[in-house]
Amino acid sequence: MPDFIERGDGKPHVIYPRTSAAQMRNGITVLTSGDGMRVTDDTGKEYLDFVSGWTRPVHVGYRRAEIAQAVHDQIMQLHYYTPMQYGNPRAIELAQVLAELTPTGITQFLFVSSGSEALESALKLARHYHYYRGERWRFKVISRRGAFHGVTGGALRVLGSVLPVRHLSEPLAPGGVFAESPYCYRCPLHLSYPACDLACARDVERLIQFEDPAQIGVFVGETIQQGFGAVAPPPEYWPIIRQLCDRYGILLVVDEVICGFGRTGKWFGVEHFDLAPDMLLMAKGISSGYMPMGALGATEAVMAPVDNFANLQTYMNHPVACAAALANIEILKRERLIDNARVMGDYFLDGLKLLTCYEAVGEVRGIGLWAVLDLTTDRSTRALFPADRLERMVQRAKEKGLIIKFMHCALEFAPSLVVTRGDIDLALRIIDECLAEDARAH
Amino acid sequence: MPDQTDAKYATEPYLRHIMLDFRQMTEFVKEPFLVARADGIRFWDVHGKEYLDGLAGIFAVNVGYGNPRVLEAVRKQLETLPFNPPMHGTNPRAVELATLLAEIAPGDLSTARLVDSGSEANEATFKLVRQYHRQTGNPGKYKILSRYLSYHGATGNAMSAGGVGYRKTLYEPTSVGFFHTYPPYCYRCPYEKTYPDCQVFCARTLRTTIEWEDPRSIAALIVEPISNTGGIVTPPMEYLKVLRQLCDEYNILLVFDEIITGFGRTGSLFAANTFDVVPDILCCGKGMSSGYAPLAAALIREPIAQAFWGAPGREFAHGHTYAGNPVSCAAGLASIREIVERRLPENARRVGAYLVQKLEALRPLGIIGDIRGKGLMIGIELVEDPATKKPFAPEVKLGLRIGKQALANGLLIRYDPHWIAFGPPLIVTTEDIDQMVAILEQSIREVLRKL
Repeated sequence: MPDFIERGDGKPHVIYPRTSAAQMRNGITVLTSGDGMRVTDDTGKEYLDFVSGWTRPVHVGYRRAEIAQAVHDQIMQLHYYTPMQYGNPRAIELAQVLAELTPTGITQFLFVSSGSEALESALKLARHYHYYRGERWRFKVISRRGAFHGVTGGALRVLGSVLPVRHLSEPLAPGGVFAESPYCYRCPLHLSYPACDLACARDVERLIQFEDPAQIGVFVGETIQQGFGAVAPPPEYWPIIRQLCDRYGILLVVDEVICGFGRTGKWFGVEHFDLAPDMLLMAKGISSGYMPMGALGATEAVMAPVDNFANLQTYMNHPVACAAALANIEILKRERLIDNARVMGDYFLDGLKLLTCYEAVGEVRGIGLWAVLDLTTDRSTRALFPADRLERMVQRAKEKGLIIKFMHCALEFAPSLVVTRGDIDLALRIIDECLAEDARAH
Repeated sequence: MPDQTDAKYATEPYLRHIMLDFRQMTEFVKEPFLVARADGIRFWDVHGKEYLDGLAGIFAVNVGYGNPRVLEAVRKQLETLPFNPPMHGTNPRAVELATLLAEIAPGDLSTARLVDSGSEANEATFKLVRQYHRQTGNPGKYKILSRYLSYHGATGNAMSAGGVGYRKTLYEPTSVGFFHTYPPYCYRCPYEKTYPDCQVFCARTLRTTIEWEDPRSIAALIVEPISNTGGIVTPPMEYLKVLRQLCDEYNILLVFDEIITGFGRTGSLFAANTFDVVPDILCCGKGMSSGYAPLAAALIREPIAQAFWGAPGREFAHGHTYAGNPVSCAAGLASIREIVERRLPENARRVGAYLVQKLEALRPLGIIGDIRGKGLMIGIELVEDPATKKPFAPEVKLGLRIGKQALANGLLIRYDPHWIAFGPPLIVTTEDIDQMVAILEQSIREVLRKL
């Protein structure tokens, strides 16, 4: 066991992403096993995981024998062949399953290895679509300040959160344009819903005009945005964006890397908004992290003009990843985990709402099993909440055996879809304690 | 009378050989407009028709046409020294001009980088600000922040900084590192707010833009104090002060594009004076030489210029064959002295106020939404319903029709589909304004009758 300790006293050979030198010196928690909702570190300490693996993929929980079996079987049958001009049964099956599950119109699928790759493929497919239709100058992409769509080249260009990640890599390829986010609690336009009449959405039209409608290929957005802490827009938001995209021939790419596969209490987030995207980005919950996996879904209309999608990566349509995804989706269906996400989500949100007794809790919001406490130092001005206090609370929760995280000013929770009332009660008690400690200290 | 033989050049066989600024030649050859001669605030076309110049050419001829002092200076300079080797040194007129500029420019804008056009002034500035930051320990500062509806010139980076229409979008993608924010267009606030309740939100919200783009990556913010191309977009008095504070806070250089507003246009020598804000770099041109010779400059604050002194390699790596040429500088010296000694900024303020008053009287025509600007840079936004600000349908293009009708009636003004503007030579009198506004009124009535 001690062999695995990355305590900062030795010289680790692993590169840890987005982990500072100071964090390295404090030591890295080395996790050695997981089961259901819980993970265990190398000292034997057990944690209730309320962020589904932190980046939130683990929808079906840890240690699922049936996914392991499906992966094993597929490796023994055929573990790899090129996705170019060759097919495999698992990819074909998975595409059929997804065609049933995904929102109206999304019927064509490409399987990749991450959400970033799904985004890259979507941006490229959009270029192909416009190119074959004789509109090759549609190179600009409208994203939103606060957006997260991955960390590769094209994704960086539309990255509107965790900004140092973008800033470090600049200058980037041209064409990234940013609109404001529908983050109502701290409206970037200093307006109030509903009096604002959705200025943030309507303003996208002005942006399109300024940037030249003929040069804009894509509007990309997360159905529910992670950057400011699980922000669901008002119901009118997406219909306005959809209308603008239609009016100007812009493809609407919806990023459901987090929302997809039940996180919000429905199979896909767009079902809450009756939104029909042109492309759908998936990852995380598609395989619950058992295999690295992402996917791009597109409508027939998007694929129709494309003669040859010139975008090949070695591990596209990977048979083993597709087998893992099929087994994962089978569990989500059989155990009715999407229903559980809705029921447990409501129960959890009710519990979180009781925490508004703490002065620091500015807003409680959530949808399904994705919830946040948006914190503030001043409820009247909704002033930002200091990161060091958020970090402290997250740290204290971890010491108490609960893993949570924070985004912007919000404490965030996204447990696996197998979560029980008992898990939620325990988590609420620890969150309550952390808020109380913070309140006492300030 | 002009030489009538010039009239032949206003015919298609000759016009086939030329490509003009922003003009569709197919249309131009049907109604060619060739100016042959000018004097004071008037010019004559090749057919001898007389026009009042309500636009100083294009906000350029501030001292008016045929100014004897400028003419004499240029003639004398041509005889003495028409050109000097620019890579090896300079000439006395260039240094004299730079010294004069240091004397009259606001604050410590005491070093001039002379160039030939406004585009070149802004272009030089974008290079200069990046180098400045590199040489003062901030090599990561390369982004240029500007505004939609702005115009900063026709060349690569200047065009990238610009923020409007086909002058730019035809040539995209533009340079990397240029990004845009919304202008202080109060009549139709991009943020749907109302001044003064807004507390200049458009300026304050720049803080967010700066933070989100990473202040360590931003070299400069460039603004026209009053921008022409967007329709004489005129900010509230405190707007530029807020920008100044933000730029100071984040070590971002504040650049004023005063190519139009400089040299008396807004009622002070510079708009920087009018709004009482000193930029880090002030780009000027047009009125500087009143158009008698191509001339422009970037005026640089002393501490910034200082960063270019020292070891070889720290100098500004930039040059143009005709930059600081003696003839242009002689024209500039004479033009500026005329503007200063004849107190033309004061005249611009006085006559400009009179112009606004005369234009206000046209409101009963029912198409004037907004009258805005400063000094002798005054725009009118045209609307179908002034009460609701409802614009005319795009195909109406009322501004274009009025502008063309005014030209036919002997008055040159700036015109766009939904706005028109005056920017006459700064020597105009109230009587000249009476005449100009009378022609405008007649032209509007004629256009409205045909509508």
